[in-house]
Amino acid sequence: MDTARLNRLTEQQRVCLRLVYAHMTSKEIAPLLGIEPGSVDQHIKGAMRILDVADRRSAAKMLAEHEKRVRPSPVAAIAMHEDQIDYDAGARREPILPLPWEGIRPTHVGWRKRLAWIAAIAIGAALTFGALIAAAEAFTRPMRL
Amino acid sequence: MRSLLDFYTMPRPGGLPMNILVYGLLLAGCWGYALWRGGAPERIGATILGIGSVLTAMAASNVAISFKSVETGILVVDLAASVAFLALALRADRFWPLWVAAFQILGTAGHGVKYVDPEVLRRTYAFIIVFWSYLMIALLVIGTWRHQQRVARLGSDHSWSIWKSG
Repeated sequence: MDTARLNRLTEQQRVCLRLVYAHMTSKEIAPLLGIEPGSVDQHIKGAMRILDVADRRSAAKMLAEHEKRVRPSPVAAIAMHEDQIDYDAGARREPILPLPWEGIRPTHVGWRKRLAWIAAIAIGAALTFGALIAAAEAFTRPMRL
Repeated sequence: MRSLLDFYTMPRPGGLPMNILVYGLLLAGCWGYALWRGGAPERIGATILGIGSVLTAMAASNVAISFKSVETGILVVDLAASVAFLALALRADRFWPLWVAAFQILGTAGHGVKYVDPEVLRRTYAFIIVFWSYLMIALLVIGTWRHQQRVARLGSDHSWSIWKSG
């Protein structure tokens, strides 16, 4: 049974697989655990041998499903959640206006466009403000010559 | 005839003028909410706004002569806040700092109006400096609220953008 195999995984192998399940690469996992990317690969390969699967995603999924059954771990819970939602959908679309329209994010907008936005907002706000003051002035002193 | 602005800013016997009281309460509420519930950009924004407001109050000249000529102390604080908000707007994975930076720059430009034309009424000068701060408080509250909504919906929220410089 799978449970027997899963119980043979070392704690280090489990940690690596949980992070693989959270869509992280060996290079991203290594600094978190303070080890070399090569060592991360070794842990994951060891886990794949124990679980007798051909790729790391399957190994990660096996552990995640097992842990969800036994005791839902926060990492697995977040990873499961991330599987269901498209996390960066808003960041992939190019915003035209500096507004969070339909969940759009400014993630990839460079400094030139941001400065242009700030200038446009400032000019627009100044014109609006000036127009309001002028209107207020006109209404309070209609007969000034 | 007393206008609303007169009523709002006039000294009250035995207490602070209404405008200082109201702004102080709004700022404290927004500051606490952003620090408690905001992500990194919201907390940094609240810190800039809070420190800037306190320094402005300290830098303002005495009530009897305040805003009669260009308030150099406040101008320096406004310039520093502009730089800080600009840096935040360029890096944060948010839209609100872009608006806050623009408003802060406009408030700072308000000093230029008094410099170019010293005839500008002191109350008008004070109004065009201070007006934007109320908008900035509102934006910070909205930004923090929307951050909370994303955290609730997605489980977490990016603080910073990942654009490459150049």
